[in-house]
Amino acid sequence: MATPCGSVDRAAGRVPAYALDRSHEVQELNNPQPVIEGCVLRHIADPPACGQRIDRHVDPGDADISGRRGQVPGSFLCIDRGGLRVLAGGDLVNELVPFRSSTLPELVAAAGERAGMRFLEFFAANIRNPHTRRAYARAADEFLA
Amino acid sequence: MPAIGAVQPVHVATWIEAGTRELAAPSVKQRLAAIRHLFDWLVTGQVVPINLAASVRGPRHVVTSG
Repeated sequence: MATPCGSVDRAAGRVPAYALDRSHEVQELNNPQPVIEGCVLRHIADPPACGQRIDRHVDPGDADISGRRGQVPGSFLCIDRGGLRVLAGGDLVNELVPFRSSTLPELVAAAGERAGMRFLEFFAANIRNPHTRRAYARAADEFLA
Repeated sequence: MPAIGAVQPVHVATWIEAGTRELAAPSVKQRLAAIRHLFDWLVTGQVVPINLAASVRGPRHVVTSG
């Protein structure tokens, strides 16, 4: 049943890319300075290999996007290639990188880059619980699609 | 709707109303909470001026036990 504002293929169990929290997992970073839609992933001194797991706790460091510095232990918030990626601690630089804007809901993408970034920040920085993040992302995706 | 700034409470209410026909009340309440929180966050970031989902009421859910 289509909702007035669009719908999600619930039968397929689709979860928005920005809801996928793959903690402690860093995916492939082929190019240390990829430029993706105007956003630059700055300075990754030692990009981890594809699928490499990092078991240590990570200090969020200087680039604190959440306003909760020091309260996000080991927060590798790696949210798929289609969404956003936050790399934290060690030799890595904390970074919030929007990837393809097509992953954003249409209404958010139409509102501009700032809205898109803020939208992604909501899931990355404001919601701790991965279950909540997933549920909220599904609801937002369905409403705003 | 052209952009997220054009969302009106009636849009949220319609979506919630449609949700009540296929989902349980707590699920619909959770979805409404998600939209409320999201708009709160967008208000803080000055993406939208006000939270237009704040005034929408969700379905009633009563649990009687004991």
